[in-house]
Amino acid sequence: MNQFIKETGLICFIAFFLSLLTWCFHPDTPNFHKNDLEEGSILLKTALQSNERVLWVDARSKENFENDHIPGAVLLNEDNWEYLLAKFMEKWKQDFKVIVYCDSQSCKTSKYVAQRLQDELQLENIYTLHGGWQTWMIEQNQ
Amino acid sequence: MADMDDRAKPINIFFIVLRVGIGGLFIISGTMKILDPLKFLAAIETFHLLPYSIAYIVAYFLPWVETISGLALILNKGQKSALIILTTLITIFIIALVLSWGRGLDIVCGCFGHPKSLKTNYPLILIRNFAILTVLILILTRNKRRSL
Repeated sequence: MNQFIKETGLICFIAFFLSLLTWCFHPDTPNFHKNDLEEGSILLKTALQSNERVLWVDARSKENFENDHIPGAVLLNEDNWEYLLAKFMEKWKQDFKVIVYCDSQSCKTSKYVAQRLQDELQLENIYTLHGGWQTWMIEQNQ
Repeated sequence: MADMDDRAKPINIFFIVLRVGIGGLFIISGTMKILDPLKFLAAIETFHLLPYSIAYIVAYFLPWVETISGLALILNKGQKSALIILTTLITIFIIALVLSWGRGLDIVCGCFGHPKSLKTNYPLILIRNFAILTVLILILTRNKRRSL
């Protein structure tokens, strides 16, 4: 029994120490406070409560988009930028709030797409969805 | 006596292969979660079982417990403790899955770090985890019998 406690304690201690190191040095450490936002991000709750009309932009793969997406979203990723941008322009209007999302908080694609839209079209009212598609799924499950 | 030893060998080899295989599986599973803690955290959140702060700690701590326990199995050091830890973890996960299924949630398994599909195939996930649990119990039982 003593041996079991010692071994289990050792495994847990090593795991704790290594998890602390991971938390300190991992480049994609999430915020401890759930709603700490990065610059240019928007919470789903805020987006849904907004009085402005929202144009959702899905930056994930075509396969994921076709599997499921936020209702009314347009697909826009760097795989087929020119073609998909034309589709985006068909739906976009000056007074829309554009919100780009990808898989989750760790996914960087939405930031690249949002930045590219800002650079190429000089869009100002553009954000990335904090938590991405997974935050939408969690919201739908509630 | 020599014949009995010879007959015992294939079964010894079988259990060594099982032990190393299952240890390797947990190392891979744990490592994938360590590499992307944010994604694993999001997966935990889809279960709606833990407050965010606890889920945050679990997202960092649990993958390392998994990986180290897997390593312990392969190296045959602290095998019994590693088996009990992993059996406990899998059991808790199976209970969480059943609860989520009962609540009709569409969860993200996060089992191997990067879910391919966001649609939950509960039967498949449960069968897979029950199979892993069975192997762990098998090895644990064999070890117990050999130590008696």
